[in-house]
Amino acid sequence: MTALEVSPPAPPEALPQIPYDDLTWHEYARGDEHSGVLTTTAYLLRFPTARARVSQFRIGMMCRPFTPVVATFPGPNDECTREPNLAKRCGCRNCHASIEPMGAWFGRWIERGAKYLEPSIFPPFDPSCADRSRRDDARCREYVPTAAAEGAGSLLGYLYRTPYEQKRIDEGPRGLVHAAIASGELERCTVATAWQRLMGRPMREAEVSARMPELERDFESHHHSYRELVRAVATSPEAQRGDEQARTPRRLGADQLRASLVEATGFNWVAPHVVSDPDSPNGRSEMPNADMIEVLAGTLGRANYSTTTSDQLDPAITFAKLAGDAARSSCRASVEADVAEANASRRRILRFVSPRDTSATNADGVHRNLAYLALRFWGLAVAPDAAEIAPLVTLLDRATRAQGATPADGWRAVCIALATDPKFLTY
Amino acid sequence: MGSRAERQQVEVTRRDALRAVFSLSVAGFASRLGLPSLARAASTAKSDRRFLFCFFPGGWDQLLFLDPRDPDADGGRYADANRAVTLTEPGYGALAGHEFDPRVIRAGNLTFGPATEKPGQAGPRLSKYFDRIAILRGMNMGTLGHEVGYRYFLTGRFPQGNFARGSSIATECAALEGADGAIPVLSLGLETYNEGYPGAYSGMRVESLDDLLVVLDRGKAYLEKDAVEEALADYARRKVSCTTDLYGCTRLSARMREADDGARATLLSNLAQRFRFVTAGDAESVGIRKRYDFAPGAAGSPGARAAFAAMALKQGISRCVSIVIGNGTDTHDAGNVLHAKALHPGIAALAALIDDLATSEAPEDLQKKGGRTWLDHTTILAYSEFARTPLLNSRGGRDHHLASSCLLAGAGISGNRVVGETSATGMGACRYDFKAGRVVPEGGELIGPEHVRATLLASAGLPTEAAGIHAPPIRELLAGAV
Repeated sequence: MTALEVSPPAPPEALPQIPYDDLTWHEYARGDEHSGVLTTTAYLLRFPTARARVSQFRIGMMCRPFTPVVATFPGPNDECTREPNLAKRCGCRNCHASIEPMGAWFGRWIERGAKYLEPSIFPPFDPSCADRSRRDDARCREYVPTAAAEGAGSLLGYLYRTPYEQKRIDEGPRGLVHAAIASGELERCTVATAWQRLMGRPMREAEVSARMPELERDFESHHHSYRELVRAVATSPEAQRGDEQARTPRRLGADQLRASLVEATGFNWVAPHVVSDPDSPNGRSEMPNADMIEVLAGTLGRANYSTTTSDQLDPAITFAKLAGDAARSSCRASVEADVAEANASRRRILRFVSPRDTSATNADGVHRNLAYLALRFWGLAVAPDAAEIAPLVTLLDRATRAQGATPADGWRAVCIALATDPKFLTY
Repeated sequence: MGSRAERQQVEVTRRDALRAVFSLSVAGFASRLGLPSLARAASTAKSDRRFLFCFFPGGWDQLLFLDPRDPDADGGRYADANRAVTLTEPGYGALAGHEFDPRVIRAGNLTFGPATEKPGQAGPRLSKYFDRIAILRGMNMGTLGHEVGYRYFLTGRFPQGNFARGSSIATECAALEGADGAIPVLSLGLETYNEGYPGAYSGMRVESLDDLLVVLDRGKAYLEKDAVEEALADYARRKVSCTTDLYGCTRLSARMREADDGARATLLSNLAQRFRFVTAGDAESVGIRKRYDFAPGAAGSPGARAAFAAMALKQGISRCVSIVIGNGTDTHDAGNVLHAKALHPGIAALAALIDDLATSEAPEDLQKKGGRTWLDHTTILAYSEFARTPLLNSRGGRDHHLASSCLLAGAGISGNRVVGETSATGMGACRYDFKAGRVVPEGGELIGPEHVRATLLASAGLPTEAAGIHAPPIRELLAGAV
C-alpha cells in the first residue's frame, strides 16, 4: 500500500501551533486552490476520485444524481467498448460525457489522497514520466505512464482534456461551485435539501411554485448562509403549522437522543460495557464508564461516513430497546440526584414535589409536577388536570404502591415512561 | 452440533416465544400489528425457506475468486504478457510464495480463482460443495460507486443518487413468505429497508456482535422492581387517544410503539445466551469457534460473523439473515497478494458456513417437507458491490469494474452450474437471453441484481413481480427448472 498523500491546508508556517488538548477553534486562511468543503481532507478521502467527487457534488449540491441506463450498454465485444475515453465509450458516455468535463475541476487534486498537485512541481506534461519503468517514482505515478497509451506523459488529470476543460483544471473546484451558482442549481438544491431535512418531506408542487423562489432569493441575498436558510424554512408558514400533514415527524438520531436525554434528565447514558477483545486472555475487556450511545451509535442508526452517508432512522426494535436502556440509566441517575438535592429549584424531576410525596399525600403537587415534566420531556404545555396527565398519575401510583417500592421508584418509572414515549423520541 | 440439540433449541425458542407472547397479553399485541415474530412462531408460514445474504464489501477481484482466467490454458492466451490483447492481467504469478497456489481451482463445472482456497487451509474448502453452488457471471452493476452498488444489490433496485429505493431483498423474502422466527429479518452490519411491508418484517440491524448482546439483553442494573416493570409495560401498551394525545397519534408514533412491543418481547425470549459463543468457555462455544476458525473475542472476524448467521438460522431465531462476511477489499493501490489476503478470510468463512449448514440436520418439521440438512432449506447469496478491473493500474492495484459475479448456493439452486459470462477481452458483461437461457452476442439483456432478486424469490416459490419489479428470474440457476 502506498502512503496517504495529503497537503497541509495552508503553508505549515501559517498554521497555528495547537496542543492536542486545546479544544478551542483557531482560524487560519487556506490557499486559493481550496474551495470550501470540497477540498477538505475528509471530502477528498471519502470521495477518492474526481468522478466520485463530482458525483457527490451532483447529488448533494445540485440534486441531479447520475443514473445509468443499463439497457443502452452494448455487448462487450462491440468495438466501441474499447474506447478508453469514458466520455466517448458507448453506454458509459450517457453519464461520463458530463462527469468527465466536470471532473476537470478536480484535475489538480490527487486521487485517493488529499494532495494539491502544485503546477510548479507537476506540470501538465512531463515526458520523462512516460516511461513505465518509472512507476516507482512517486511523482511520476501522477502521470500517464506507457509510451503506447494516448496522452503518455500527461498529468493524469489532463488526459483527454479539451482546451476548455484544461481551463477548468486551472480554476479548481471553486469553478464547479461558481458554475452551479450561475445555473441556479446550487441555490435550488440547497433549499430543497434544507426543506427535506427540516420538514421531513420534499416540497409539494404548490410549495415549489409558491415558496421555492422566495427561499432561493433569501438564501442568495444572505450570501448563501445556511443558518439563514434554516431560519427561513423553520419560520415558514408550513413549518409553523405543526401538524403531521405539514411536517413529517422523524425519529431522533443517536446524537439527538443523547442531547435530549441530557437536556431532560441532566445525565447521559454511561455504564460499564464489556466488549469482545481478541487480545485479552479471556476474549473480553471492560470499558468502565462507556458513553453507551457513542458505543452503540452504529446500531442506533448513525451513518459511519465510510460505507454509509445517511443515518438510518427507522423506528426499529433495536432503537426502542436501546432507548429504553438509555432512559433507565439516565432516569436512575437523575432521580437519585434529585433525592439528594435539598433545593427544589435545582431538581430536574422532583421540581414541585418532595422525594416522599405521593398522590395520596400531595395530589396537587404531583399533578403540577407531572404537567411540568410533560413540558420538560415532550414540549407539551398542559394543565395539571389535563387528560394527558392521567396515565402518568396511574403509572406513578402503581409503581409507588408496589411491594417494597418508594416514591423514588414511582418517579423513576414516570421518568422512564416519559423518555421512552414516542413524543420524546420523535420530533 | 447434534441434530437432537438443534431440535431442542428450536423447540425452546418456540416455547419461549409463546411464553413471551402470553406474558405480555395477547390482546395487547394483536391490537398493535403484532410484534415481530415471536407471536408468529406458531403461525403458518407460506414457505419454509431460509435466506442468507453474505456481503463482501469493497468490490472483489473476480479473477481471484468467481471468474478466473487460466494463464496456462488456451495456449497461454491469458498470460500477463498478452494483456494488451486480452485487456486482462490475472497476475497470479505474484501469489507464489504468499500462501496461495497461483492456479485456477477446478471443481465439477466450476472454476474458482486462487484466493478461494489455500493449500494448507484447515477448515472446509468452498470447492467441496461445488454441487450445491452456482456462479452467476457477467452481471452489470451499472455503477462504480460503493454505496450505490451496495444498495443496488441490497434492494434489487437501482438507487436514486445514494439513496436506496424499495425494500431490502431480505425483508421482501421474509414478508412474502410470512416468515416466523423471533426476529424474521436480522442483519449484522448491513442496512435494511422496508417500504410498504408490515413493520414486523423491518430488519433488526446491529452493527456488531457486541451490540447484538446489548440489544438482546437487559442487564439487572437496568431493571426496576418487577411490579414497577409491569406498570411500565402496561403504560406503554395503553390505548392512545387521538383526541387527547394528538402528538402521540402520528403514524410514526404508532410504529415506535410497535417497535417497543417488539423489543419487550424479544427481551423476554432471552436470546442473548445464544450469541455468547464469541467469548464463552463452554464446550459448544469452543466448538463453534473451532469450526469457524476464530479466536476468543474476535467478534469482528468473518468467522464470527458467519457463525452468528448459522446460529440465527439453526436456532430458529431468524428466517432471513444478512451479514457483512468479507473484510474490505477496496484495494486500488495493492496488488494481487494483498487483495487475496483481504478476500480469502470471507471466502473461508463462507465455506465454513455452507459446511455447517450442509452437515447439520434440520429439525423434523422441516425434514418432513423434504431435505435432511439446513442447507436443503437455506438459500445463500454471496455478493459484492462490483468487481475490479482486469488490468492492473499504474500503482499495481485494480480499480472498480462494472462486470461482477455472485455466488448462490443451497436450497432451490441448481448446483455445479455457471450462468452468464464476461467477455474474452476486457471482461465486460455479456448479454443474456432469458428465454433461451444463454449468453447471446446480440440482443438479450444485461443481467443485474434485479434478476438475482427475482431468482432468489423464485427459488422459494415466491412471487417475483412484487413491488413493481418486472425482471425475470434466471431459470438456469433454479433447481429443477432446466
